[in-house]
Parts: sequence; structure tokens; C-alpha cells
Amino acid sequence: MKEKIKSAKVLCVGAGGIGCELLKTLVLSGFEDIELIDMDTIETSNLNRQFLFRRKHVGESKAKVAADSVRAFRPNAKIVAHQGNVKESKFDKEFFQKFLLVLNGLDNVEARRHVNRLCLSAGIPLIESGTEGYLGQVTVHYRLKNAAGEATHVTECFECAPKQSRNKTYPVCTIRNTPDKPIHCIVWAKELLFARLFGRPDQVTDLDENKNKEGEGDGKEEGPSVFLRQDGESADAYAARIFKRVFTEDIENVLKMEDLWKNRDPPTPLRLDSILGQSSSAASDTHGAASNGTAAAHSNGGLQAAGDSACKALGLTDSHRVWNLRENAQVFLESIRQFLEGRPGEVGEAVFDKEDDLAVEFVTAASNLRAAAYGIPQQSLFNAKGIAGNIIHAIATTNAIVGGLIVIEAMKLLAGAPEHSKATFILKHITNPKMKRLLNAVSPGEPSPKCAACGTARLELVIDTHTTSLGQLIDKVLKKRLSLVEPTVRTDGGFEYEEGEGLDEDEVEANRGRLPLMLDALPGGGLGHGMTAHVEDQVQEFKVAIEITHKDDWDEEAHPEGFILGGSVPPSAPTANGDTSVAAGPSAPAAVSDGDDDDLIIVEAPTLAQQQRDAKGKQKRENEDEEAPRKRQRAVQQSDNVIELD
Amino acid sequence: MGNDLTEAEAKVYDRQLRVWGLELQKRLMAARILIAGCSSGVAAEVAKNIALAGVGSLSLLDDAPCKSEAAACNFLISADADQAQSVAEASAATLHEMNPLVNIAALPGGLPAIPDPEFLRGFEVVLITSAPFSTLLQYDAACRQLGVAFFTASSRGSTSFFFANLHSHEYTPLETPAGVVPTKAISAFPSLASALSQPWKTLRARYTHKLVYVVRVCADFESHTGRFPTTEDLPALQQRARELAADARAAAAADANGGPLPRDLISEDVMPAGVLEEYVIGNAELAPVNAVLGGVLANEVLKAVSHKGEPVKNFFFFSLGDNVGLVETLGEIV
Repeated sequence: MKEKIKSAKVLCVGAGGIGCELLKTLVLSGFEDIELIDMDTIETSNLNRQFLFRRKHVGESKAKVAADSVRAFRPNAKIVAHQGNVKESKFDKEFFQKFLLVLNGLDNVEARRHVNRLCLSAGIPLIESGTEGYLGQVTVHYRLKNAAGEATHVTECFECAPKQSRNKTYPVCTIRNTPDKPIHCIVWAKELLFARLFGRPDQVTDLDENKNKEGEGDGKEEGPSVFLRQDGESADAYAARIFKRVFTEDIENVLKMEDLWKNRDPPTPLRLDSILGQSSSAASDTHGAASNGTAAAHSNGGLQAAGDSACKALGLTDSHRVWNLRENAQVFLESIRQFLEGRPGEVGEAVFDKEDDLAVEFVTAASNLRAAAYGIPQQSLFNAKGIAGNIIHAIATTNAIVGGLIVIEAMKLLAGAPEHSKATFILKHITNPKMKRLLNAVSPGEPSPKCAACGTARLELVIDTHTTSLGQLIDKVLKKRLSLVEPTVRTDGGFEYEEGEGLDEDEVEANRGRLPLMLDALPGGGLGHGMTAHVEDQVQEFKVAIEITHKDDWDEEAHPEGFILGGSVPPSAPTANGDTSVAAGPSAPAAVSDGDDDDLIIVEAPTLAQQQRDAKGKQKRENEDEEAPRKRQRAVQQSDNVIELD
Repeated sequence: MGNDLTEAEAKVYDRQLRVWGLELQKRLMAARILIAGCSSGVAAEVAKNIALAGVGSLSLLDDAPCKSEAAACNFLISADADQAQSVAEASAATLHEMNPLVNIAALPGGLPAIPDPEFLRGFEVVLITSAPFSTLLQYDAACRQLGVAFFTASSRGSTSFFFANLHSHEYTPLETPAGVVPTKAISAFPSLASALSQPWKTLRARYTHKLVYVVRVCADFESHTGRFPTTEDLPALQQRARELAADARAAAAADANGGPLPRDLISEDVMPAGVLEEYVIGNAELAPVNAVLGGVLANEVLKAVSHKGEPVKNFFFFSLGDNVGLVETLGEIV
């Protein structure tokens, strides 16, 4: 057994919270042949649990430093570190086939799904893991074969059980007009206002589409320029004007939409002069520096590098205390001023980053002011940062336990004892007094025949086969919705479309020529009603049969995508770090992944006008939207009813 | 309380503050913890976990040479550590690098055979590993006198356990529903001596972890001889197990109130073949077992000093294979 462990070549995907623990426990257990992939660099907030990293390593590659640190106590371990994304093409099936086992310590569902497909295709067992706070889980996924090629031990694959996304959706009209939770205000401050003031000017946010799209308010046409600083306008005057615009005038306008306030409390417009004029003897106003609006900040902030932190300039050092209205207004004004004066080059380019203190301060103040107008509880800087950055909660102990459990499962597989494989769940406390368990273990789940990744899933696609081209099918359905990279499409009638490496130039040309053809007009009898498309991705070895149902007469409001994909579809929105997944099992804790990185919340829903026009359509659309994968769009936000928080 | 965290502390502890909050972090930062016998891998795991959590001070006590065989599983000892260093010194150096915000001390000497109350008084929590039950019983009793939380842990081969004695421990639940004021609760712990003398007739065999019997037999042996059992001692240990099982059956039969159900009766071979052997012979620690045990135990140490979360009372068992981590409550509260 010792020899088996020593010579076993294993791949660790992820060198973060779980990865550090896993790597340590692997080498202490005698593993000596390890490759490690991680694309990230080390951040200060990793140091409370990613114990292979030191302060001096901040900014360096996690994979490389982790490998070096482990060699400090096990010099004979051969660890090859790759700083890269596991989805890069160099980590293909052949790369995976070098390994006996793949061990995942990842923080997002998209990469997990990709590794799952590669493991399925390469025939390599996968041990999966995730943690969040006190909760954690380790699951095993394999299809083992005997010498004759018959399957002997088969478990579910990672995609067999539906995964719940941590990402939540919020209707745009709620964000824009009728917020009733702190998160609504934070989404507004970050996705709408921050992007509008400091992001790319050509970037359309829902802030300025309000009037044009819905014909509400005063109906006056205005471009995004109203949010830009005007020639000769001082930073302070600009900040005050923006305050007036979004917290006074916009609130007054939304009050005119009387229908909105029949069943809810109307907001109260804020007035900057009265807020700043408030007596500073308010009980919570204990900070001397916050005495007289931005004037105090200016004199105080003389020592501060402008563009660094509005809180420092204002003397607001306690990030856990909720600011009063006056302090929020001061931070709002001061953060705009510092952005404009301290970081002029970034204005028009900025993207929200949770590690950017000034950006977080602006978002906190703006969302609190909006919350104040709407009577919503306000947040401390610390909490607002957590919500805006979608920060995953993480502690060392859970990662350590999970790292140990991964190695235990790896050892069982190496010992040739897959019948002992377990899916193990770390519980927060004993849930069943009779069982007395803090760690619960169950047998791995059975594969789901409905799984599109490993099963014989048949998907059902309702689409207009007269007006949808092959190219549209490939882009909208196969690539966007099903996360395929290089799809191949075959019909029962012998038609074939291929993409990918290994094709001659004329083959590529011929394939390209097929893209404009309508589905029902494809050679070999077409892909019309009742026909089946056999779809494959060779890189992922993802294979699925899609039954086509023709439907014309589409309601674009109800189905803006122009198709309905049913049957067993990989679960929704695999789009960013920090997604979480709920594992199967009788006592599965809610889902989990130790992400260190920026994460996102996808916000999507019909616009207010659509809602009012077609309540029924809205219902359908929301249901469908839950399943619709949306690609991350970091820089440019184009869709008007999708807000991503990242 | 105001925000007493420095900027450096706030940055490093950010992610865990989001799990357990500022107040709990401040309590951790005031805690003084002793780990004695830190050659073992499980001690190294606990030390790493609580140093990362940011306790106030962590003192290590183990004067074994850092390159000794017994310290093979202690990953805190760097390969290029000075041979002249003790396990405590070499481990402390790494822990200090890992979290410079914690006051890490390598204390001179080894664990005194007789507990020194003046010394123990300096800590809120004492964790002792790699000591026989004869020593552990004395330290548990001494800690009880002082109100110092006492833990011990052992990881041998595929099996492992830890024991916790928080005496009379006040805590608030880990989480309370929104809007509900958390109410304090008190958990009363039996002494180690009481836990180890729990009559077997009271155990429901079907639901009791097999290591309960193994630990009892080994504890009896160690407290009589003052040393760990070896392969040669196996027959004596098995004999002791049979005696205890026979006593339990006799006591059950004499029970006027009907006694336990037949399926709950202690059988003669109460310990499945191999479990006792592995525990006694399996001195070799397994790193993944240490990682699991050390993770759960560190959570308990943090609960002890933060008074947040219902503590494990009073034994936790984990064995590689079934992956079940199970809590047993043994002993009487006096």
C-alpha cells in the first residue's frame, strides 16, 4: 500500500483553502507524485486558512508557493505546479489520463463541471469537495472497469444531482424602483450607480434606461451624460449634483408612479443640505472628524493620499459600526471627490473590486442612503463589503477536515476498495441525537440516467425549425446554454457539422457554409419536428441526444431566447467563482465551496413594463430564467433585464 | 465593545469574521492555550488551526528532539530545522511565520509528571497528547480544580478520538433565528475518571462506538502501569475486556427492572477482531485521520474559549473507513 501511494500520480485542482490542506495531507500520507493547478495569486485575506502562504507571498502564484512550502517539510515530494486555468486546452483529456486520481478543491461550479466532464472522458476517478463556514462535503465519482472493460463500480457523476446556485436573482424593477431589502440597495449602488459614475461611459446601465424604456417620469430624453462631470464642475459640486439627482429627484420621480405605492410604503426623498445640517450631537456620531461635511474631510484628508479611502479621511475607523445618515452622506461625497481627484485616470474605466476600499466605501454609503430613503435597514462597511463582494465565509478547520477526507477516499480507491467509498458531510452540530454524528457518511449516489454529462439523457428542444439556422442553434443552445466548447452535430439523416482542431481548411470552410441553413432544411431530411440531433463535444467528451419539437408563433416576451430546452439540463448559470453546490445525500449540508475570489449574483427578471403587461408571461419567463445559463459579462452590460453582481 | 482589531488583523481575519463575527474573534484573541506533547500529528493540526484562528497566545510544551521518529507526522517541523531544537521550538518557529499576530511560545522542558497548578492557571485551555492515561487523569483533575478546560486526543492507525472536559461551561448557541435573543445554556461535563469508569451495562452496545470499549481497556491498563500497552500486553487487554463484558452481563441479568434489551447486551467479544490490536500496535499516525480529528478538536477548543456553540460532550471518535465522526457522552456528573 505504501508503494502504491508513493507511485500514484494524482492531480490536485485548486491550491486555495481546501487545496493547501489537501496538499499537506497528501504528502504526509506518502504521496510523492503530484501535479497542482491553480490560476490565482495569493491575497492577504487568504492567510487565515491557506496556511502554506505567508504575508511575503502576497501577489505570488498559489500553485507555486504551495508546492514550495510543502517541500519545506517533505523535500522528497515531486510536485509540479501549474499556474493556469484548468479549462485551458493544454489540460485536455490526454493530460488528465496521466493521473490515477483527480482531486478537486475548487471554488466554482463551472470549473467543477468542466473537470467532471474531462474525468468522465478520461476515465479517471474524481474526488470532489467543498466547504463554506462550518459546513463541508467530500464526494467520489467514478466508473471503474475490469480488464474486460465491463463497469464494476459506478457512482453518480458530479452533474447527476442538481446543484443549487448560491446566486440569487432580483427583478430589475425592484432594484430600480421598489427595493425592500439591503441587497437590493447594494445591487443598485454597485451595478447601477458605481458603473454609471465610474465605469465605461458607453456601458448602459439600468439607471438611465428607466425613463426611456418605460415612458415613466417626466419623459425627457437624456443620455448618460447627465451622470458625467461637466466642464468646469468641481468635484464637490459634481458629487452634490449626483446626490441630488439620485437621492432627491429620482426618488421624487418614482413617487409619481402612484401604482407602486398602493400596497407599499413610499420612499422619502433625501435632501443633502438638511442631512449635512443635522446636529452632530446625534448619539451615534461620536467621531470628531465627521463634523462639517466635506470641508472637514478636506482638511483632515490632507495627510491621506486622495483616492485611497474616504473613511480614513473622515476618521470612520470602525468598519463594524453602521454609519448615521450624515456620515453616509459624507462618505458618499468624499468617495466621489477622491475618485475624481485622486484617481482621474480610472474614471470611465473602473470596474468594482471588493478589494478596492474606496469603491466599497462608495457602494456602502450609496446603498445606505438609498436604504434610508426606502426605510430599509442599513449596513456596516464590513457587511456591505461581504454582500457586494459576495464573499464566501471560510475557516481553516473545515478545510482541514475536508482535506483529510479527500485523502481517505483517495487511499480507498488506491487500495482497490471502491466498495468502501463514502460521500461524507461535515455537520455544524448533531442533528440526530440518536445517531450522535458530527461527520456523516453515506454510500455514493447512483448515476442518474437523466444526467446530460454521464447519462443517456435526452433533451427536448422546442424551437422554430423554419426560422432558426444551424448557426443560431450552435451559438444560443449548444455553446451558451450547454457550455460546450467545440460542438459536433449529427442527424439521423446523415447530416454532420463539426468544429475544432484537426479539420482541413476545406472542411472548416464546408462546415461554415452549413451554418446559415435553417434547421428543417439541413441536408439528409433536415432537423425538423420529431427529429433528433446528436450533439457532442470532443474535448469534454460530452454527448447528448436532443429531440426537436417545432413551434412557430413565439411570444418574445415570454421566451426572449426563442427556444425552450427541457429534459435533463445541466443546472443553471455556471458563471463565476464562488458558486456553490448542494450535494446529494440524506444529510447534505447546504452547499459549499471555499472560494477566495470575487463571486457573483445574477440578477434577472422582467422589466416593470413587461410585468404590468403580462403577468402570466412573467411567471413563465422567470421559471425559465432560472435554468438559463448566462455568460459572465464583466466589462459591458448589454442586456437590459439582467444585472450581474460581481 | 468597540472595534479593537488592527488593520492587519482585520485584513487577515476577514473571512472568518464573516463566519463567527467580531465579538467571538476578540474572545479568541484574549485566549491563552497550552498544547503539551506536540510531537503528534494531531497536535500539529490543532496548533495550526488555532494559530490561524488568531488566539491570543499559544504555548507549546515538548522537549523531544525535533528530528525524532515520534515527530514524523508533525508537518510544522521544517526539514531544515536545527537538529538541536526541540519539537516545541521547531513547531513554534513555523507557527510564528504562519500567523505573526499570535503570541507563540515554546516552553522549556517537558510535561511535569505531577501537575503544577501555578503553571496550569496561566491557561484557559490545556490540550495534552501523547501521554498515558495515568498522567491524563492527574491533569484532568488538576484542571478541574482550576476551572481550566482540558482536552486530550489520540490518533493511532485508522482510529482516533478526543476527550473534552469543560467542567461547567456556559455558552450561547452557534446560531439563533433572526430576531431571537440567544439564551445562555450550561453544559456540565463529567471528569475523565468518571467517564472512564462508566459501567458497560449502561452502554447500548448497538449504538456505542467500538472504540469506547478499546479506550476503556487501554485506560485501565495505562492508569495501573503508567505506560502505553504494547503488543505483549494484548492478551491482558483482551482478558480485561472479557471481564468487563462478563460483569456487564451479570449486572444486567441481576437488574430488577428488566434490564436492557437482548440486542443491547454486551457480548463477550465486545470489540471486533483487530480494532484493539490496531489501536495498540498502530502507533503510526495516519495524516488524514489527524487532519479530521485535529479539525474537529480545534473547533472545540475555539468553542471552549469563545463560549459560542454547543460543545462536544465528551468523547469524539473518528475512524478511517466508515468516515463517521461520532460523539459519545460518558461518565456521571458529580
